[in-house]
Amino acid sequence: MPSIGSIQRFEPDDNRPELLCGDDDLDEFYQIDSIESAKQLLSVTYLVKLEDDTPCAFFSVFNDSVKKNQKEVPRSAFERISRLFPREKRYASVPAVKIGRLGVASDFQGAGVGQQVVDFLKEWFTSGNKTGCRFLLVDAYNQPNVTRFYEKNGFSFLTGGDEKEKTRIMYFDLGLYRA
Amino acid sequence: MARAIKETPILHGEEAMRLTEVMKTNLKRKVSPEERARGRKIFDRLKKSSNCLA
Repeated sequence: MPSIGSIQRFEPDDNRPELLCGDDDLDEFYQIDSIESAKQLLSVTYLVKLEDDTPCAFFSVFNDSVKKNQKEVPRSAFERISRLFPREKRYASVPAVKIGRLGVASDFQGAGVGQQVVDFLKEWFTSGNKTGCRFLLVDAYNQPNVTRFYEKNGFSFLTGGDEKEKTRIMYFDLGLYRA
Repeated sequence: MARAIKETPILHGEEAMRLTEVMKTNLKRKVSPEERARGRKIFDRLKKSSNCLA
């Protein structure tokens, strides 16, 4: 399995080395949309390189949150939750980071690169993070091979409401990853 | 233009309650030491070689 060796943060004006994932949406985001998104401070895109400096993948991340409308929770359930959590810990909004795009170059698909990137992100947003972050979210293509990959990496579907949509929001609870 | 990333939906009712319970339960659980070590190893390697992580 090729080992990832470094990541490079793209500034808006940085040249994007050629990297084709074989998916029009991912390729277009990498070459074009990631520039405007970075200019507007909406997301940050990183290039992933192997140990020999070959570009093998990219990912973009941005701050997000999971919001819960607790007022709609039935009273009996609310009381049960209230017993579990002290008042100050019953957050209605939980901080998260969302993987907007994660693309692996065609030449390296199925070689464990995506797995290493996900492992890195879990560690980075747990022990390396400067702010609080409880969930790693991803807007995953609703295709069996994609959702299986994330499920294998401990992600779950956030809601059943997007079951028939092109993409599904999945989450990994970084609470499982703490020291 | 690439597709817009989907907004994270606000969770209501049972789904909101379930997530709260999952969060609570997960604080009593951890990933395996092997999985944690795997992530740590990659993070440490990238930290040494990536300026943006310095």
